[in-house]
Amino acid sequence: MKRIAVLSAWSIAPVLVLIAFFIVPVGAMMGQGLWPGGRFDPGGIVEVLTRPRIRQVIAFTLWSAGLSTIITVVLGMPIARLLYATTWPGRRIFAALFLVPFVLPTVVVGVAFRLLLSESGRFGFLGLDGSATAIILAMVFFNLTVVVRIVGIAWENRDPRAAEAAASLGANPMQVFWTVTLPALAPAVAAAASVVFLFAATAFGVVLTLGGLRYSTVETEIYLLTVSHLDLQGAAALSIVQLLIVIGLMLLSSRVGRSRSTGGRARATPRPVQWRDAPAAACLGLGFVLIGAPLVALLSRAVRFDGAWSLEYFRRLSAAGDDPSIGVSLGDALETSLRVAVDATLIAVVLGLWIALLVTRRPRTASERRLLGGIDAIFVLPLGVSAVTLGFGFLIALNRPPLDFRDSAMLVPLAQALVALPLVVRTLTPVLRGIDERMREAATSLGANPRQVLTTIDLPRVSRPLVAAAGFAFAVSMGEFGATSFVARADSPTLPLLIYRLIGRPGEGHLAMAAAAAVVLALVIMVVVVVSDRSHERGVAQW
Amino acid sequence: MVNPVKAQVDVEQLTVSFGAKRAVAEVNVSVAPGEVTAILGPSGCGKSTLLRAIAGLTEPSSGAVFIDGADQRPIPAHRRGCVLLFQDGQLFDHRSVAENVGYALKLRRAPREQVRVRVAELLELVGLGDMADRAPATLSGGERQRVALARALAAEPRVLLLDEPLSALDRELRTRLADDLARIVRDAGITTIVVTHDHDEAFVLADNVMLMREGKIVQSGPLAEVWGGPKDEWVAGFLGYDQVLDGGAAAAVARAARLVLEPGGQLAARASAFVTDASGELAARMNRVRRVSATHVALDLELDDPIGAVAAVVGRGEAVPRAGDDVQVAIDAAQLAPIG
Repeated sequence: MKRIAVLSAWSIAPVLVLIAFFIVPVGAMMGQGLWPGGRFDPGGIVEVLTRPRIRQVIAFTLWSAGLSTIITVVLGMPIARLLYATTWPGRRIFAALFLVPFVLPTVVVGVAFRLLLSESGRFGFLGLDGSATAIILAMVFFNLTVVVRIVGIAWENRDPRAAEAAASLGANPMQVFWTVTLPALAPAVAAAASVVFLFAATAFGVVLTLGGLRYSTVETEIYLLTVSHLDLQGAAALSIVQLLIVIGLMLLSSRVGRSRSTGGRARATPRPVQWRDAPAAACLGLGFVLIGAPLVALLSRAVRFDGAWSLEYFRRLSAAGDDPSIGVSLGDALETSLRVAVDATLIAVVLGLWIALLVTRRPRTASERRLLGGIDAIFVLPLGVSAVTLGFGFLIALNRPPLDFRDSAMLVPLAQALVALPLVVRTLTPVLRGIDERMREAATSLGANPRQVLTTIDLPRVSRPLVAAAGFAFAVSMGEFGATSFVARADSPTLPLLIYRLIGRPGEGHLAMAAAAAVVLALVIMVVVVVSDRSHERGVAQW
Repeated sequence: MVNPVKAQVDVEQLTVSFGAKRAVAEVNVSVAPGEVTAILGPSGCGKSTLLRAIAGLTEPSSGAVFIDGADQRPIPAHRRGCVLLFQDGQLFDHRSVAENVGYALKLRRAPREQVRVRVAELLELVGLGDMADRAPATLSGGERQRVALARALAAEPRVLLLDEPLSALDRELRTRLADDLARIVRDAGITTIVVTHDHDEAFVLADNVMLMREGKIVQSGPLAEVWGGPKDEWVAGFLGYDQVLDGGAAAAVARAARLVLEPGGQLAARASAFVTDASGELAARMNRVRRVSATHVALDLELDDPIGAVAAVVGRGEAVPRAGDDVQVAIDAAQLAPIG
């Protein structure tokens, strides 16, 4: 059989999955906006967009995402340099610590910030509870990891010879930084900034938990319009707006983020820390407080009752199944989350590996290149669509034959798997692309058939990153809130949904129970990520 | 050694195009069973592409490859029995040295014990008997190439294809490995095609040579024949002749060397064809000295009419002349080759 036919055949299954569980739901969502009541009416969208509330929401989304991106980059760059380009005792521990926020679920962070900033919290005197500042701080908390990691690794791997050449030509350290180092880092900084903006602009859990009704972003507004106001057209209109913004942003970032390839590279050795690093150290301290304080607040609230150490709130959570206002115990919610996460991880890993293997085949003809390029492009789409839009699409599209999944136990895992899928694909493809095509040819030439090339060359290389990707997929699934909030059944919520439910109940006691549940969720995720990421140090770096 | 299957290789009218560029243009090659043939040409001449097309790794646009008369077009690369040895070895760095060498045997599900014995034999053959458990990343460039060779031989290839097997190595290693490679390949008796841009490499390894230029074979034949009779000026230059004489100069030099040259014929000459020698029969004036390597200098001499300017060398026991000196020059006929 011709190679193109083989490649096409292997493309069918993942493409069908994408169509059924992504194109159809998202298409249905768009249909709600463009074809309300069955006839084409784009005017409805314009009407939605002229509402003062919606304009306010869009403005707040862009403002908060933009501001938090600037703060994150400015704060993250010195930290990146201190953690990745200098040596000092404890550096690795700090580097590991700065990875923590990234894997924490949004609702956990939301709860932590509320505890920290609420009137009775340690920083309650600042009066930031429910303020826009709190939302922006939480966004910085989340995304600091992205900047520190992406810029840090670029800094660590930079070719020192250009800087050395500049120094030998008479440039002082500041001049070297501004004329050589910074331009060399620019692609990494731009890539990090665009990812941060993307995450901030589509943040859901933190905004919903911290913003209440006063502050809403496009993402939370879609949720509120759908769930509280049953305004499907308004929600769809906002989804379309968001889709356009995100796709535009991704096109932009794929341009700026493309790093220039260089020939032979030398690697810089980290230099010892010096006094002139003091300002960077101050940034590190600030970042440390920003990350540490909410986590400490979360933990201390969860394990203290009536002024003493106690597991009272965990006890209450375990018995919460009998409380009609909560309706589910910690154990049941954890079990639901774990079960869903296992299924979602399996789906994401199998599908992700399949897609990664497919798109990294080297095209030999123009038509093969078109086919593989097309597959590559359409599987970037889930990255550009917010979880809420996807969940909303699931809700309205997968309720009639042949895609009737209303009562299926696979609905939630499928939704979460699609959210985690880009992560898996993005972790695996660079590894597979990194394999020299001639190594596969050497195997072929020694008598290996295509299947044997796959099992003896590709799979051994990808096994470690695959474990890391599975760990991250599991973490994403465990903490997933946006899509899950739409599709999960009310009688079997996942842990993040239980936490959100608890926040919504009045009384400090419920907030403390939310903290206890958040601690459990965070611990489970940390354990999974630490165990799986040990095998692949650079897992998060792909982001 | 296992008795090799000696295969005849025929390439007929093979063309490989990349877009509008024809990397290989209507090439015909014929290699007899057990013979070692070198394809020699400058970088970018299409020789590696030709090799890849024979291996089945690159699809030809037209033409065909025959092995023992069988058309290879329908046969995928992994069933051709043509093992390609890459310039940088392409060892599988996630496997040990022994696992690399045993790779092809494992693919065929050979019994474990048999694999072990054969791997040990081959590692011994390439002089790496004690490196079985090493990781490829810990080997030197020369050792990696030896492992790659052992790995290729383990596959019992019908045809062995070597793509610049020594080019990635430094000079000293290259000389030693070239010797070993020549011995091993000859002992194995496998039909071998080696691609190289280095004529020394071709000289050490091959029986026959084919010169390739811009996708075409420009000259082929037994090694000595091609060396002794470059077909045109380009071939002479590529084979390392320093100058091409024509007209009266060629005739005069041929006469002095007692060579038969057709009227109007050209003569390729290495610098070492002209040797300063007090008893030499040609008179010349010294122009200047050029260093060509640590141990050699070339002289720019102006010989009496009709020969004119030539590159020459200092004869044994002769002093290096100074500019303006009058010198006598003898001719070494072995360093001359009539063109055509």
